[in-house]
Amino acid sequence: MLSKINSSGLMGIDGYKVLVEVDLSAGIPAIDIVGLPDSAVKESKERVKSAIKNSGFNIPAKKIVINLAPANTKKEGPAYDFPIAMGILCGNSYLKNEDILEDMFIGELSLDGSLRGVDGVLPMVFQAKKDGIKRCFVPEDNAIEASLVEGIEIYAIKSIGQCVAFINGEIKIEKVITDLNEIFSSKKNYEFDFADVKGQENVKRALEIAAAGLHNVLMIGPPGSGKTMMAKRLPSILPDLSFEESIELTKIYSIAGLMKNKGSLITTRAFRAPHHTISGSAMVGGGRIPMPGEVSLAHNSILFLDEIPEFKRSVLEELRQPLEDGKVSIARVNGNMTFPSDFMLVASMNPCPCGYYGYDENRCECSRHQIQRYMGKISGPLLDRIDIQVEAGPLEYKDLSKNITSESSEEIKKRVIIAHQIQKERFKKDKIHFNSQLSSAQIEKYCKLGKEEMDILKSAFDSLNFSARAYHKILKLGRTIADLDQSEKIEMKHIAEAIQLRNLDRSF
Amino acid sequence: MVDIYYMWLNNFMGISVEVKHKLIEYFGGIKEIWEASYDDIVESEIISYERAEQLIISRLNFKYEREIEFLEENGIKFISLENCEYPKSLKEISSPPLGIYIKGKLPKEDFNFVSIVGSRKVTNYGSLICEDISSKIARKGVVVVSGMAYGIDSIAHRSCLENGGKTIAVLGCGVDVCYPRSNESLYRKILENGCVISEFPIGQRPERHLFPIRNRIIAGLSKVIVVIEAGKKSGTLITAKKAIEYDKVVMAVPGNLTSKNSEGCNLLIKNGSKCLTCVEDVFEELDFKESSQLKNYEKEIIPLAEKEKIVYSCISYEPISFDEIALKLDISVREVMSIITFLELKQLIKKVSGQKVIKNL
Repeated sequence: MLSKINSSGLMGIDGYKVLVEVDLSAGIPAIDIVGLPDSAVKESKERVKSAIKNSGFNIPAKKIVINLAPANTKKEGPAYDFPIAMGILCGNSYLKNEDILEDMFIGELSLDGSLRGVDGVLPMVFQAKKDGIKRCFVPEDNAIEASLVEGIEIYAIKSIGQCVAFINGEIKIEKVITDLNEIFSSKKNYEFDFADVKGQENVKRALEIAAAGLHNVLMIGPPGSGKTMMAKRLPSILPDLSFEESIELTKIYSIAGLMKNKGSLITTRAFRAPHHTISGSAMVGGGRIPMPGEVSLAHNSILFLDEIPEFKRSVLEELRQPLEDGKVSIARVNGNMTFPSDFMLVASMNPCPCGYYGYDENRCECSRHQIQRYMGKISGPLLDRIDIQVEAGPLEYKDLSKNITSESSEEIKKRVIIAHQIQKERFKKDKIHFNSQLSSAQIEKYCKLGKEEMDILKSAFDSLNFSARAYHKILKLGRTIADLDQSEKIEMKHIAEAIQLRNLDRSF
Repeated sequence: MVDIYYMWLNNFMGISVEVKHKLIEYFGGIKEIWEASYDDIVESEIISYERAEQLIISRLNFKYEREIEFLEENGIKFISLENCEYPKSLKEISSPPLGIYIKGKLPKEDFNFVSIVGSRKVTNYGSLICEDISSKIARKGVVVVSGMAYGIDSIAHRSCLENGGKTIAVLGCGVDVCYPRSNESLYRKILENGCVISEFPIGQRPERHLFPIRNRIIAGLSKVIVVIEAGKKSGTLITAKKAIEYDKVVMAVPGNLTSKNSEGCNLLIKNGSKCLTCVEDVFEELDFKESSQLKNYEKEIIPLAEKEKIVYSCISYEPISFDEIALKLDISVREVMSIITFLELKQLIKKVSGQKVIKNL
């Protein structure tokens, strides 16, 4: 007797339909799983057997063949336990297969028959809705996450016994419904606020400009100057995530297994700050079965690399593709996976290995050679992708003791939102959204300068030792600063301010 | 032909210059050493058997045609002690180099030579003072001598060249070797407007022990040695010590007592070196009659906008951060940032590390 149960697998950040076919026939009693299962799937037969038995059902003494179609993609993880169990129960006539042809089952089984949460439910349910599935049965842990998909019924299931009783109409289970509007309209609370930062006004301003044009930032300064503190506050001045962006980010978190007990949708921008010992595949994603890396977890958000020269050179070089394309492609034998990774890079570093060069001469013990090697760890091509280089000077007691309230994140955010809207309007016909993405041809088009402004830029190049790569960066930054000022034209003061944001181009 | 003999003995790195001079004295001339046999040299008891052997071997291996050909191809000149072009001031020091390689054009000795030496790691203060002194003396036609190392040396060369002066870099390696490598562009600029010199053979790599030997040439070439920022134990102090030995005028730029970088300078002043407080002190030592000539080069008064004037008035020689200016004047930091760019372009102020600015001298 053959039964067919719908389930789902993951490919990159998207789900795809997996049909679990269970066939019971006469023969030596055994359970075989085919369709490229990995070891977690192969072991599932043991879990399924115990779970069925402990739920008070019988397993027939027959030969059971389970096929996971399509047979050419690798199936991984324990999420197929639940559909396999349902298939066997259908075969043993506890259920009618016709009742559940338009349903989908996802979940790991415990030996007592209860369900455990799995990763990646959100993209799977999304795909299910596209495939015309009507009802989705998911473990309780994943129910809220799954309910973010509208137009499909979600049921939170405790155990297989409960599920069978519900399908046979013996008991009632309430649909899980999440009010998306409520999630979105609620005020976002950020842990940190710029109002707490005293002093460092110029760095704050640089971060505001960075947020307005989504420019990547490098902060240079001695230990204790508040680089990390300010970076942590960046999410609070970026505009809120749109619904699409939220869903995209939540999908990635779902796949990475970071959604368990997290509640529903991720509505605030993430702040990812990996430690500098991170490996290449943890950074950009990878593994035998590709998983999203930090760059994808920071999608539409902020990736903060503290002490960037301490990162492995190879890891930093791998950042180049995601920085350029806004996505990571990982090639594996059974296909290419693409994870989105449109993040804003915020990096910090000390001026030398000990951290005090240029700020406290008596304290710095580094040799010239050491300092050069330290600065040289960030390659030119990577530096080329960082528009803003700002210095954070050491904080002095008088800065901390000042009794001035700084601007709150809320106020800064208002300006940033306006700048974002201006850019959106301007780039309507182009494929880009922000000034930081301008190509050199587009710079010619959108960053026209008057004669006076041109002169300023020229004399800056002559007298301040700017390198050639700074030219386009200054124009882009000038554009963003003008947008923040809601000015159509890039004025002298905008260019002049932009020049102050390019510190590393100058030889001190 | 005499030059050739000198070149050979000069290039022989096994013995020090002092010993070479002793040999010349013993044999009564350079040609005599060239013609001396192994036994003669051993008999002199000036050098050991092994060294004598090495000396003889180096004589056999010395292909002077090839050397000369190479020098000509690369525009390098070798001037021996007996050559009339050999700098007189250098001849006067004890055990002068037997010869020097010159790449570029050696300025005539009618010019005043001033050596500027200092630490590789400089502070804002050091670089500001160095720039000021070097550019001002360069405008007066003084030739700046230094060692092309990082820090003070490079700043001295650079400021001199930027002000149309001539400069000499004395290297601790062969003249065809640019060390440090990152000074490549400076090296080329020096060749255009001055020269690099060295007593070490062509192709010699920079080695630790060669730098103190090189320092004595920096001390020997000039009348006045200006020391800007030197640590307690530094090569700069070796140069100063040599200069005192050679009876040169050593002038040290005083520094903050708490600054490690000025410990050496303050020590020199304590031990009787001249204390340099303005560039006129240097001119005085060089017997420049009137320093009024300098006034022609004084910066003309640059018209400033009202806001620029206000910001400029806050800036002194003590570094001040953008934030502090903004707070003091009660204007936004973004305004300060753009005004600072304008002032910087007018060369009135200089940006230093930590988002701070200081007044330009």
